Amino acid sequence: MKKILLSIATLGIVGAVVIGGTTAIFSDTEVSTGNTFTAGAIDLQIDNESYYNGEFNQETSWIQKDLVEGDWFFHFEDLKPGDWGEDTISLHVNNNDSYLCADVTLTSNQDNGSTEPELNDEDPYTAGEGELADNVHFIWWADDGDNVLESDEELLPAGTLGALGIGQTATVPLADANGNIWPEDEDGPLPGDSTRYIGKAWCFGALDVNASTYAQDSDSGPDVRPIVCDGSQEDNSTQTDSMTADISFRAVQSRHNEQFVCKPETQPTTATLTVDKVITITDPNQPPVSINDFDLFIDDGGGPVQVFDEIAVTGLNPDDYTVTETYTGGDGRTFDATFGINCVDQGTFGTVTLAAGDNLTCRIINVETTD
Amino acid sequence: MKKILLSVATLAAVGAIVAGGTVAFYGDVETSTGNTFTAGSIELKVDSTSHYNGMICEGGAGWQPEEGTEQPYYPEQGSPCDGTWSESNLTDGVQKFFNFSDLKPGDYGEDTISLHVYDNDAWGQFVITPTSDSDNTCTGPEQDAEDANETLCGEGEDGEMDENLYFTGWLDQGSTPGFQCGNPNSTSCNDIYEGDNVYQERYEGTFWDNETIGDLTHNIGDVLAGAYGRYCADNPSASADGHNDYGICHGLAADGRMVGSTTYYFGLAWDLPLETGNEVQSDEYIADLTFEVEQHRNNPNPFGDE
Repeated sequence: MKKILLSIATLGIVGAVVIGGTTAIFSDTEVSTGNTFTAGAIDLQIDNESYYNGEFNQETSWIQKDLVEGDWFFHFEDLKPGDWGEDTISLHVNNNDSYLCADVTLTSNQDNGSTEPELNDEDPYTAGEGELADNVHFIWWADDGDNVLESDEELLPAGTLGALGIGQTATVPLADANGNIWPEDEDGPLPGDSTRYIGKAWCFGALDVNASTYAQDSDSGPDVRPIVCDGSQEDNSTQTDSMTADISFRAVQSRHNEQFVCKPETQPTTATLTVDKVITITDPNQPPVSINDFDLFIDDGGGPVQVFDEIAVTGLNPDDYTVTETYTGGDGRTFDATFGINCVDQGTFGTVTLAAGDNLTCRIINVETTD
Repeated sequence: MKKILLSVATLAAVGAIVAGGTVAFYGDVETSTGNTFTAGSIELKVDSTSHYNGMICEGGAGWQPEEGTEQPYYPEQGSPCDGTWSESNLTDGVQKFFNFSDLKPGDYGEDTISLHVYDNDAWGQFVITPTSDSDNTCTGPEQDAEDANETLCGEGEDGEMDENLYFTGWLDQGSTPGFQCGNPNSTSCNDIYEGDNVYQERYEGTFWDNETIGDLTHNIGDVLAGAYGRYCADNPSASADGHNDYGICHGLAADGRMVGSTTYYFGLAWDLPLETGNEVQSDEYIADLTFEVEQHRNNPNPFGDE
């Protein structure tokens, strides 16, 4: 049997070598290929079709794009009373639901020097303060895309830009958690891949909204159905005046953002406290004392802070405050103090609880103690 | 192979001669029949359950809201999804743990992956191989954001998704350390939190804690050995080799092996924070996720590690 055993041994060695040469050990691999995270996009693009006195105006019209410096919704340098214009703005939101807001900021409103007739009509002449922003009237509406204000289209809040101070911004919600101006949408965000239209008309003079409104489903633009604008009541005070404004549209993702509003109401986070000091009766045999002979303090637990009579302290953290005073006359006189109005009288001090947005007053009434 | 064949032939010939030589005499033959060498198997199967923004992927029923998820739903209820499948081998390009084409800041999701090694103990590792990290296209707001960051934006440029996507990983072992639910002889399992895809901070340590892809470690052995050290090393009922009849600490071994016939659950949560900026718009990150197992026995240095 020796030969057999030898053969098996040989087999074993050869076998081991062969295994070593092919696969080292048993194994298995499972691959999941092509795992993908791709971000969506919120990209607003705008086109504008503009008419000036009923004629198509190339300079303020453009096809769909991201706006750059020099894309103006209005850019008119020689306005006369009675001039009017109409723009239809198309807002394109790419494939995602989004909210939309419009922000209009008045950036300048100037006289640009004065002409003789301007000086005659502008009395008193307000150098550097133009009148144009008060005299160009705007209407905005949710348009169906045909450049005509129709009876079923909703007018947006508007007026003159003169209602704004320089640098002030008026925000108009187009679609946010509180609503949506377009009749084809439910309240809330614009569906992705949609185009919505804003009609905008202006008139240098009195804009007759009723006469500028046409029947439902009218088509053709302001070259056929004009804005009715009366400049006959304008005077020379606006001559050479100019105004500039920034108009921007914001698109904001709606997912995870259900409560979004274009104009968030700012919640106060701080409170105001005023200490009011009154001295009623003093000892007639002593020299008079004044309010300045008392130091006043408020303290929310972080140490007393000196305050002054009838001067409101703003920006206070909502908290429980104690109000105290010390007499600094240094002549041994003593005064009884009563804490009132919003303060709770605690004998020698007052306490008051301030909540965010509160504007409270603590009155200290002193009566001199006499023996 | 020639030498082997030769040896076998010799063996057969010798046997024949021996048989030929016994016929003529009294004798006895004792036979041991059925001597067997069967190779063991190391086979890995994987299943996955996908969750996204409070919705669960239920195979053919698509995305469905989970308890407590409020409208509006995104993804929409019933829209198709492909991140959930039952225990199987993975097919190229078919099973994807993650397949999200329209992420927004504030999106989050989770994938519960279960790994099952059949019959034999094995070492495991997890490999992430990125295949694409690109800007894809450059939208207007993305261009503005990348200009501000002084990065390049455009087709073929480096994407920002991988820097903004955060992963948290945990061993979804439930309230009893180890894995009790993979017992082939019992369908019941008394650990209701095991594989429930919810991170229970008290019982389930994380191995990734809000980390971006670049920072992830991939060695399953470290994860399992860590869990053994934390939950089992001081427990007299636990077993250092991880075999504990599906009782406490079953599947957790001191050396971090994957114990055969145990179903391991891993929770992988991801999050694109709400603060993420426009530079991520339309960016794409694609990766292959590979799970590898090698036999444990006679293999002290798996995966070519020295």
